[in-house]
Amino acid sequence: MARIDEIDFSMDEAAFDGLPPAGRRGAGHDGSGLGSPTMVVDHVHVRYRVFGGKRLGASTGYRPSLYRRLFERTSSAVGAVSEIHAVRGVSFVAHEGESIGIVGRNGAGKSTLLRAMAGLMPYSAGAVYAVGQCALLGVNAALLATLTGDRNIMLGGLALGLTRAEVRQRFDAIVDFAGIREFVHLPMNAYSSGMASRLRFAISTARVPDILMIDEALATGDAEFQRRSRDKIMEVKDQAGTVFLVSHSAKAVQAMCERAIWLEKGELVMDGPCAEVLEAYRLGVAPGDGAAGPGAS
Amino acid sequence: MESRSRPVALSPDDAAALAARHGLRKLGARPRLRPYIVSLWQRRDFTWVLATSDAYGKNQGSYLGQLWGVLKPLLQVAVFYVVFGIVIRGARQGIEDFLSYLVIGTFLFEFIASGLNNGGRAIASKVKLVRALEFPRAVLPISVTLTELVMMWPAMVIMVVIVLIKGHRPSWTWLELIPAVVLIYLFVLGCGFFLARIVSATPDLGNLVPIVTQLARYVAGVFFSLEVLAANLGVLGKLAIYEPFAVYLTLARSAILTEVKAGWLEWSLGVGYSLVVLVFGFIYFWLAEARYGKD
Repeated sequence: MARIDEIDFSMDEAAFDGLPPAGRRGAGHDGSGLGSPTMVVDHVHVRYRVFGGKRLGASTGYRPSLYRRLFERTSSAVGAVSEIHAVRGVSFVAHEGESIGIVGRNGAGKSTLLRAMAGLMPYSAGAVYAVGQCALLGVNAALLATLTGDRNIMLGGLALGLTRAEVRQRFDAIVDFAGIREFVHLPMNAYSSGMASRLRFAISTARVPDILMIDEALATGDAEFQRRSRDKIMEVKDQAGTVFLVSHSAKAVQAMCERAIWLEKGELVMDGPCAEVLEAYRLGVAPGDGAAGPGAS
Repeated sequence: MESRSRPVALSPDDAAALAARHGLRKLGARPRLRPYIVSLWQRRDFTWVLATSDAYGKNQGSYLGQLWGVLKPLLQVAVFYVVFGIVIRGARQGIEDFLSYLVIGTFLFEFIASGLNNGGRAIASKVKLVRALEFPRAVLPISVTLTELVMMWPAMVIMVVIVLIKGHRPSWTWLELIPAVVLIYLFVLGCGFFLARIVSATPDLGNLVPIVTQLARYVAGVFFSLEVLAANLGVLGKLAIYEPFAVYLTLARSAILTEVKAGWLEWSLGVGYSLVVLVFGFIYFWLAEARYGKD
């Protein structure tokens, strides 16, 4: 039984070339001209445990003695628990009608923060308050590769909290959106990777949440599909109120968001209008104090 | 650069007040018991489809596919019959129809054992799902034990066929098998709730569950008569007869085999064990609701 792994989609930067920057650029992010708050994130810290991660010592370049190879390798995996402090005291307020990009380099805690904001990863300190239903585009985890497409649509839809009747009602739309009409009765492991990711995306967006969170789930498949998925996100965004987009691609964030948050080593470096934050992120210099930027640390 | 680029964060009190003013709910807080049960009931379709999909998926990927659902228990009986019916003949002592006795015991105990093993890993094995979607986590122990229940049905059919071949005539008492299986399921589910929380906090303990079920397999009278054992052991023997696993096997066997008797004591013990374990297991699981998925 193979469970489909959550795929870390990579942003196709070319897909965003020539796109006008996201609208609402003039609107401030400090509450003026915006709807009421949809999410309040208050000094959130996320720590989690990882098993079997004790340091092995110098691992390259020399061959350890037989004793070391026999015993130390095993003992290094006994009682090896590392605690990772992935998010360190992040605070911000999101409002209705905002789309917020979260930028930062690999390992900056972007995805972990997003999971904590969706109520999926317990946070160890602080608080997250949210309106209604939050949804992370991450239904992948519920799907089973050995099941047929139609069965996966039912399973994924139910996992998102739809009723059976609601899934049946959306069934044709999902199948057409994913473009898998003639393959819907085949198991998902027979699909091409493009078909599978289109289906996952279609299932994920079958329900319109109040707060939508996207972890680099754009830009899968061909250009036509990318255009359709961007439309879908815009449609979801218009109904959802607030959209969060995690990405390390500045272009993707620029195309979709009017506000951006820059995370570095789990800390919030900068929060402001998209263009300003992206410019600072590109230069590697945070405003006010240069010490927080990645170039200086 | 203007100063608002790094806004001063609200104090925790101000944040809470702002959230309260706009009707935001706190995430990651454990829901109260009653709304929790309601939301669990609302997710019943998801629970069921997840369970049946998993059951289907487990037998996919081979030439015979779903036929293995029937073949596996048949082969298992063959192994036990060779070992305990032919090699170690002493096991048959005090049992008239050893094959039927063995089949009922084996199939039901396999259900209990795999239910406990998988129930314990309910959160650990689906941690990706926990981290991707919001739903009451009690769905998972229920779903994985339902998977085992679904996968047990072919074995139940084979069991009835074997018993018929051995010359047992169908009677109304056979229907007692249904409440017996329901009680066993509820007991397994209750244990599953307990184990799922313990194992998700301390994964090491997941390795001990199969050891404990192994021990239970040898003392619960799966392939020998408990009465013969009890006669040899005195007080300890009484305990061996009335421990949960033995009681449930006795209930199931008494429905079909005339040589095994279950009175009001066995039935009330069976009901008692199930309810106590289920209620306390569920509450114990619910108390940690906000912590699943952390590791």
